[in-house]
Amino acid sequence: MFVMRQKALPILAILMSLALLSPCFMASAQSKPIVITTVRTLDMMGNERTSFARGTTVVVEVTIQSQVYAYGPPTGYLLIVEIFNPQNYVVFIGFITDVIDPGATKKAGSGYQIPAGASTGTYTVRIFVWNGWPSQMGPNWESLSEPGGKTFTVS
Amino acid sequence: MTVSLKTMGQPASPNPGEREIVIELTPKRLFILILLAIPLVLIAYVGFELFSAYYGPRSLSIEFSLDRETYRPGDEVTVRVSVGTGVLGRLIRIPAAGVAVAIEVRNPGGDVVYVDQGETNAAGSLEFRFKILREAGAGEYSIYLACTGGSRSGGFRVEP
Repeated sequence: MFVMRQKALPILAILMSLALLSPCFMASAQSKPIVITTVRTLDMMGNERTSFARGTTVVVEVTIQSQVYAYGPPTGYLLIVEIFNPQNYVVFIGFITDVIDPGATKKAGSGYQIPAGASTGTYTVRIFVWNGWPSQMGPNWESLSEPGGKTFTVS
Repeated sequence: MTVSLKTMGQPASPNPGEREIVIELTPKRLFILILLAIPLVLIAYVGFELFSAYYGPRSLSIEFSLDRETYRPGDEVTVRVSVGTGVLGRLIRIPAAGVAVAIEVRNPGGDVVYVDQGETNAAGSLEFRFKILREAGAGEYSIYLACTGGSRSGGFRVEP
């Protein structure tokens, strides 16, 4: 026997609507767990520079900060530094894997020796922070921060 | 055989203005109910799938195409990517906008030669462009694409 009181119908409809809309609210509350705060280009002495001679080494220093302000496990990440030459060819890819505690700040550096015969002009650095390589993570891949960037010149 | 779930004869409700709907179940009515339920369940399923496609958590499918099948060192490769959610398999495909997609390209030796990250537009698509180094070796290069909820891999050939 099904006995349905008519007054229950609007209440049921409202409850169902709220249940259906709840994923929207949850999705809007999500944000990236890590932020790239600074990207600097340094020489081998640790001095910040934006212009380098061919044959020297440019050190790309990246500072990241965890946006997780709660007690919990550290976040594992893969940080990739990619450098494009003025002709837009990828000339360097460096990476590190590490973990960062909730609320902590970390610095990472990656050195690229500019070949003696390298093109002169503006080089572009791009920084990615992922939870792993797409080839390994598959559908579990996740971007942990917005990509970062920086340019420097080679003369 | 009659399956009766209601034997009372009076539909009186303690509250005036309220009505009670009483269904007496017989095999014939049960058969009709099942017949009616099948399309309703199908409609509910499609509705749920459509809702999931728009609001997630999502299982996304990534499709991609290349501008050519083979390249030479120095060439530019264009990878056109489309991300969406399939409803009823591939019968209905809903574009997924604003999805972060990563690309990783490895040379025949397994070294990473290109990575990038982009976001799909309103049509659920985006494009990656990269150049193959002039001194790059020939062979099969691998492309790996991933987003949260989906991934796809493929490759292309570089000829000397």
